Amino acid sequence: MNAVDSMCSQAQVIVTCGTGGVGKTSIAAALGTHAARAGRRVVVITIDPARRLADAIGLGGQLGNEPQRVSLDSTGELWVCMLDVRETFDNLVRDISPSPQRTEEVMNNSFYRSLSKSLSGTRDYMAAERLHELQTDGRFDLVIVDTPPSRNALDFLESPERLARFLKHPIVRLLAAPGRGGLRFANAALTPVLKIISSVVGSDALTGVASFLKVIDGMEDEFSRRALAVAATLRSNATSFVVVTAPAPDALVEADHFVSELKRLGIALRLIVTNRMPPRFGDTSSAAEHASASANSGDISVAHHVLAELWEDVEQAERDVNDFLRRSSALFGSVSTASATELATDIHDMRSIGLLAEQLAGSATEQ
Amino acid sequence: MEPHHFFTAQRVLIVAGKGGVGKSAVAAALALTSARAGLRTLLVSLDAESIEVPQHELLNRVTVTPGNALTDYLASKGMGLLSRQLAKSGIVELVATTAPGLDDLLVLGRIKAFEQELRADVIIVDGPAAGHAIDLVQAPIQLKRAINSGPIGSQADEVLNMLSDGNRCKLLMVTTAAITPINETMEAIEGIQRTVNMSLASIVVNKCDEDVPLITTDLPAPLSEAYAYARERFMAQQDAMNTMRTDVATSQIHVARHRASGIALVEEIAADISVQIGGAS
Repeated sequence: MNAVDSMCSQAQVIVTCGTGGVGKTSIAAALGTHAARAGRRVVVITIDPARRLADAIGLGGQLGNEPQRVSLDSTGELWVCMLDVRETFDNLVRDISPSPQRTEEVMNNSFYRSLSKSLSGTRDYMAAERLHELQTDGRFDLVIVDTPPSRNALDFLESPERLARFLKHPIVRLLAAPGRGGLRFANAALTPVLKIISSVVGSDALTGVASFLKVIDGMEDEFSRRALAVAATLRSNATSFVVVTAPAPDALVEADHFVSELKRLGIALRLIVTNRMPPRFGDTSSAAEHASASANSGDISVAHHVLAELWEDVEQAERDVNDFLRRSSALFGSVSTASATELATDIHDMRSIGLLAEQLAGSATEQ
Repeated sequence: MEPHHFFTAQRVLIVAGKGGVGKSAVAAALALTSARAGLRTLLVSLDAESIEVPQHELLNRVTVTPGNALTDYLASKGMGLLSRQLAKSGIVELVATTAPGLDDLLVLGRIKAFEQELRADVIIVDGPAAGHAIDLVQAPIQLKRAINSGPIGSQADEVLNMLSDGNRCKLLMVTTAAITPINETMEAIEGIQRTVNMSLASIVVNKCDEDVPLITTDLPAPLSEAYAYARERFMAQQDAMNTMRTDVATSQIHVARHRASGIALVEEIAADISVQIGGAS
């Protein structure tokens, strides 16, 4: 069985990572389509703030936190959703709050409101939380997570642990329960630290944090427990990590970064997808002939020039990609691969996503 | 001299664009072009790992991260030694969590300090990815809602003054000639202009295909297929560029698709930019 077929039929979670411009979101959708065609119930979640997945599958502006079903001619199901940080955080609070009154208090806290709105760290954590919800939801066999196109995309793997650590930080514990005399009489060793934080953010902000921590008092253990459960899922065999790249030199530098990050985090690399490979027309032996014919005049020389350039792209892409695959294999032993060629136009409908899925399965190495 | 005029129209240029469009290479090429125009230029990277840039005696580089911006800020308040100890113990992360957006404000505050100290004639910021560009420049507004007093409140005001003053600071967006990055670029520009009222210096359209002229001669395979593919790709790029808002479309700089990488790529982009910069200014 090839690597794409086996991953799409067995994995419970697939995480695609890669830098911007490599078509990562389309690859996530294509893998989802492939798994759905094999009869599985799949949900693809994008945490990319840009609505690229929506564009590709034709759901436009309607994509939100709730999964929407994509019409697909298959026995399985394909659903897609886009992370809404605020909504996910609110649901989490509702879920673990001991009473509706307490929920209300959290929602009205000024620190909570700013926390759930901005902060990329919150986004990472909520992405992990949303993954956990969808995975335990019962409606889906496979959750595909399309990570944001940033260098720090894998931060979300560590964000649950980071949150747990934050809630247990001595300063945070101190803010949550400063003792009888309030902050002024707090633990002598930590007071200078609080003073510094206060001098930077102002005492108002610190009071906001303190009241937030009081409101969630008793809930933080559940926060931590959930966070650690998500972290465990992501590191288990049920989760497959896919690095998506394109042959451009800058994209390959980023792909190297993702591969070594996975290695650093102790996570197995299941598949490398080299997307947007330049197409091959004719065969390579004619490349030089087209290059010399492009010096002639007339319409046909334009076409010779175009073809010579494309062949030069093919040669450079194959050389650079092979070097990258060698570097990855040096870290992970043999790595399964699949590839797809660059289309002349942007992927903008389900038909081209379906063709992409066929290319991936058709080019995948054995495993 | 036109490049001179382009770069001195403001003191700070914040270069933003989504991943894969070549933002850092374009920022480096702009800095190189500015230095070659005889201007003392400072290239500011917001990422500890930044790309190589050709040497020039007027070109200096500095990296600003939230961590070192916080340390510098505390040092300026006379708490240098303690802040360095705290930075090591992970307190920066804690402070940033305490006041969301603070890390962004500290970074912008540092850039503003460079500008006020006249560290260079031209400051080019190799800025954040397009999505995050909005977060970055809106951080002062966000923070002011939560904290409107003390050092943070006044810092936020000072940063906003710089961002909204087109004579001091402008935004330069980098995109490629495809529909998705162009849409995202337009969204980012609209968001930033609506909230922070930043001026736009220019849009750099990177990795443009060379012209594939229309031909009508019958071609044998595989020439016919290759030509059809290249022509369709070229026309799709033209269509994508035609969707740009007309008011921003006038200030485009087009950079060709180059096969080079590293320093050689920065040189090639700089050559494309300096040819066109007269028209863009």
